[in-house]
Formats: sequence, C-alpha cells, structure tokens
Amino acid sequence: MKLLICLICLLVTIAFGSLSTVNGQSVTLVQAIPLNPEKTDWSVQVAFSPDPTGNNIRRIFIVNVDDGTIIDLNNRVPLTTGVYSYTPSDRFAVAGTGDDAKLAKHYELKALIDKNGKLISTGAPVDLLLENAETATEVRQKVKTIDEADIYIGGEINGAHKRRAAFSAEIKAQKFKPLGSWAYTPFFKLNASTDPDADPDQMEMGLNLRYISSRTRTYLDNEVKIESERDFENTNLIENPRLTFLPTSYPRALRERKNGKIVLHKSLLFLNPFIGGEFGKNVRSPLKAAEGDGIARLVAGVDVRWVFFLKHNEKAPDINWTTTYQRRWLLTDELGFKADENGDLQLRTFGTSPRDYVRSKVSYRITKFFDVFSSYEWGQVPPSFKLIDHRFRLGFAYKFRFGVE
Amino acid sequence: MLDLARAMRVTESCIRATANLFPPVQFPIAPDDTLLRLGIDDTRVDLLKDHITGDAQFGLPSLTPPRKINPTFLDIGETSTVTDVFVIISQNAVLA
Repeated sequence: MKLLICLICLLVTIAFGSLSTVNGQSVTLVQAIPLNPEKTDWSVQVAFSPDPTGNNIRRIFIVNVDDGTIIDLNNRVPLTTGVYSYTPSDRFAVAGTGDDAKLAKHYELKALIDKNGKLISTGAPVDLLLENAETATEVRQKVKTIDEADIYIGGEINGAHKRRAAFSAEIKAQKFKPLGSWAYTPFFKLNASTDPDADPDQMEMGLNLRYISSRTRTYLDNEVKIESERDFENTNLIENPRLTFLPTSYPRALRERKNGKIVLHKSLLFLNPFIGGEFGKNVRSPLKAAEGDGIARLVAGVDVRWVFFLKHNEKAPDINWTTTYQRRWLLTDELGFKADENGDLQLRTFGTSPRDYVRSKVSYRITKFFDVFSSYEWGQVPPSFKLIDHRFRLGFAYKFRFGVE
Repeated sequence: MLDLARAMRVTESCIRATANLFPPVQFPIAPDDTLLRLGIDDTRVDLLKDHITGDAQFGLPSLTPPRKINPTFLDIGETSTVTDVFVIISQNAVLA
C-alpha cells in the first residue's frame, strides 16, 4: 500500500512537472524554515517563475511522498517579486544537526495556478533552509545560447573561375576565471585569410588580467601577449593595458513604464568606448634592420552593439549588429606590409601615421548554436599593418560556451 | 543557503544597480526576464557579479549577518534569467 502511494505521488510529480514546463509556469525553489530551535513552528517560502500574483494561486499544499500525507499551506504573505511565505499546517521531520541537518522525509510542493483562465499544475521538492551553513552545494547555471561564446570558430571558402580559392578563418578561445575583483584568462585569437587583399593576418596569444570596477562601470584589461602573423614571420611581444567604459544601454531595458503604461522596446544599443596603449618590442621582422625595435602605440575606439528582439519572450536576440572602430597612434616608426601574389611581404609604408581599423558584422540567429552573418572590414591591424581593402564576408558561425549541466 | 526573500532582493537590487534601472516603478523586473532584456549584456555580466559579491549597499555583504559566495559559482551570461541568478545566490551564499 505504502509503495503504491509512493508510486502515485511520483507519477503525479512527473505529470505536474512536465505540464508546468509546457505551460511556462514553474516553482523555482521551496524552502522549509524552522522558526524556533525546537522546530515546532515553521514557515515555507515558495519562489515562482514567472510571478503568478497571489490571487491566481488557486491551491497550494505539500505532499509527504513517503507516506502520502498532506500539509496545507495557509496565511500567504507576498515577500518580494514571485516569492511568497506560508504557514504550514504541520511540522517537518528533520534528521541530523548543524550543516548535516536535512529533511527526514521527501516533501514535494504542489500548486494549482490560474494562468489566463487555464489551470496549470506545478511543483518542486522542498529544501530545508540551512541559514548558518558554512559550506554550500555548487549549483551552476546551464548555458543556453551561442551569444555567451568563449570559443568561436568561423570560416569560409570562396573562389572564382580561373582564380585560386581563398580560405578565411576566425578563431577566438578564452575562458575567464574569477580572482577576487579580478578575472584572468589565457587567450588565443586568429583572424586570417589566404586572399592577399583581405588578410588581417593577425594572431594573438597570451594572458589577460582584468580588473572589474562596478562603481566606475569600467574594465581595466592588461594583456601580455605575442602579436604575430600566422606563420610568425613578423612577431611582437606586447603589453596592452586597456580601459573600457561600460555605460548603461539605450534604452535601459526592453520594458519600461511611461505615463503609467508599459512600453515594450524592440532593441537595445550598447556603447563601449575604450582607450589604451600597446608597448613592447619586435622579436622577429621580415626586414632584419627593423628587428628588435621598440613599439609604442596609443589606441582608442568604440565597440557598438545593437540587438533586436523580433519576437517577445525570446531569451536571445534575433539580430545582433556589432561594430568596432579603433585608431592606433604610433609613437615609434613601424612598417606596413602588403602580401604579393606569392604571399611574400612587400614593404608598403614606414612611419608613425595613424592606422585605423573598422569592422561591422550583422548576424541572424537561426538556431541556438548556429548564426548566419554578413561582415565588412577595412583598415590595418598589427603586427604587419596589411591593408584590409574593403573585405566583405557572408558566412556562418558555430559557437558554444563552456558550461556545467 | 540564503532564504528566498533575501536572495531575490539581492538579485533584483544588484541587477538594478548594474543596469541603472531606477526608479524601480519605471522598470518592472519579472523573474523570467533575461539579463540582456534588462540591459546587461555579456560584457556587463561581470559588473553584476561584482555587485553581488562586493557591493556593500546591495550585494551579499549588505546582509545581516553578511554573506559571501564563491564567484566561480556565478556562472551566468546574458541569456540567464533573473530566476537563474536568484537560484544560484540562494543555494550558494554562505556566512561571510
């Protein structure tokens, strides 16, 4: 009989759980909180997502799955958005003490929510609140979309009749780890093409140490890196401090109340201006006379991101438009090269004239992990300052981010 | 573990402080809103983490008694929802 009750409770739990997922209403967390050391008086806090608002919670109770008894929840008090407190009709059984204390039985909360006239069943297991616990159980968030990419791999092949096919590759790999108010990551970036007129030929690898200041809304990045061509023909050792400003987006959120009415925006604009410097030394140059020269540059620019949500309730944007503009002021003479048809570097410029670089990219999300994009690039980037002569690309990108399930 | 009401208050306050969503009545926050929809993109997520771990006015240090969280547990991105952040804070915050 006891087994049958348990089985029925389990089936109800599974059925309720799946129904709540389908209908977009769930109970996120349930905590049983003892109000005195004797554990005779209890409070139960329940977090809903989304907030059903109090009057739409038609029925709410806790099932002791082990023996099938019901604990009613009374005296609802809203605490904050989506979180309600209740007084249970019975006490909970607890086993153990201190950090090892836990509920002695398997308690499951059940709720019946009225959502736009439809009654939805939902529920969640009950946790015992260990208010003074010294250690925590690790709970990490599962990663959902490509836009939080730590690894990015993009590529394309293009060709024409009687012309050699050109290959392009764009790779980014990094993984920030926290270090107090700092974060650090080793990184690798490659942006290169076999087309001599559209080859940034930039490869960077090193370590980035970032200081995060929420008070001033800034990041101070400090990269120590090797800045090179993909074949190491021209290589610099660079120390690259950069201060990035992170003002609030425009508008500040997609949903806003104006004159008592909720206004829903479709897009958000993020502007991230930055200033910095690049200081170091050339380690290897195609021009032997320039090898070992010192390098000093000032850098300033802006990253712009414009996101569009075409459908309401989508978690990630449908269209992402990012543009980067940066200008380098060279404080020492540097060389600028152009690759000839055989890929050999030919000296094109020499001096301290400023070098600009602009890149714009629009991507459209087809699935969680797959984008199509169109991009435009013009300018010169170190180490060889090869001119990227109005490079247009249309392609795809597959991205993912490290996560813990 | 932190009680749900305080965990949600810390979550909401830190999101508001990061995205400057004040006054609260002008910018309603729902538990299923993603951070990006609230003006916090991936570039700004670290600002939110800094508010949660270090803000003496809104973050975990503002509680009585003060709490702390291992920053590596705050594995969140721009498509994380308010609820996602709240669950992590509630389940991982311990006494400072």
